[in-house]
Amino acid sequence: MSEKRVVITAGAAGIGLVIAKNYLAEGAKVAICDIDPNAIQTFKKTYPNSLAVCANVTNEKEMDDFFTACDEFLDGVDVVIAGAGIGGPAALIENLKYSDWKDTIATTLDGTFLLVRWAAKHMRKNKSGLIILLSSSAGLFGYPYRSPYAVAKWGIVGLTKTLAMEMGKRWYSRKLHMSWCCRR
Amino acid sequence: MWCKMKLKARGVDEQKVRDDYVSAVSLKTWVTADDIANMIHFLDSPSGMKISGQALAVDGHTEAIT
Repeated sequence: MSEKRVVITAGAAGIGLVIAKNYLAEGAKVAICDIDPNAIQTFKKTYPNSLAVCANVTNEKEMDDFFTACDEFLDGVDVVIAGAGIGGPAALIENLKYSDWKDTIATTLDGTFLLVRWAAKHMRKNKSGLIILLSSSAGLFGYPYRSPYAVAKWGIVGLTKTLAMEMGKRWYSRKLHMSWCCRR
Repeated sequence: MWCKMKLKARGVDEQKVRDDYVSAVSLKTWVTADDIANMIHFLDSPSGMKISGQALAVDGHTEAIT
């Protein structure tokens, strides 16, 4: 993976961090954003040759600033991984707050949209790229107590299928989504 | 955190929720962040070059959502 230019949202902790470490270990140039300022600071200290920006994936301005920094740091992108998402509330639907519903959908879907929109411009220009969107078993099954999360993750699958068709027709590339089940 | 939220909604302890997850997975195992990263490594290799638009489960095979 050497020389690859990789962008990961929510890359300072959890699965995103493990993915970032793997790419860095193989010589890739990595840029991450994360909403957690402490995790960003730790990442910066540990990997000073990477780009790490504190940003909320649902904030278009913050993400635009992140992408501008990515453009300067990477001068293009080869791989993007949409890792940002939240579990949202755990409750029966009649007990959910509308704000919780919207926050869960926005973090997973809006954040992924903003990342992919930026990446697609580069990849269309380069005629190459890999997009990985993290979903969940909740995106393949119904998920009691987690309705907004399930809806958001099903949305990721729909976006994955659509991206493959929109972008795959133009050039040989890979648009992927992965599902993971057990969480800590 | 995931389990803590769920146990709160259900009023059961964390270990019970973890056990429920594992019991519903065919491989009877807990999937880790490394497992996900390993799949990405495969997809971003020559071996994964012709995989596109797929929902690929790295979950030990989910038999049911608990």
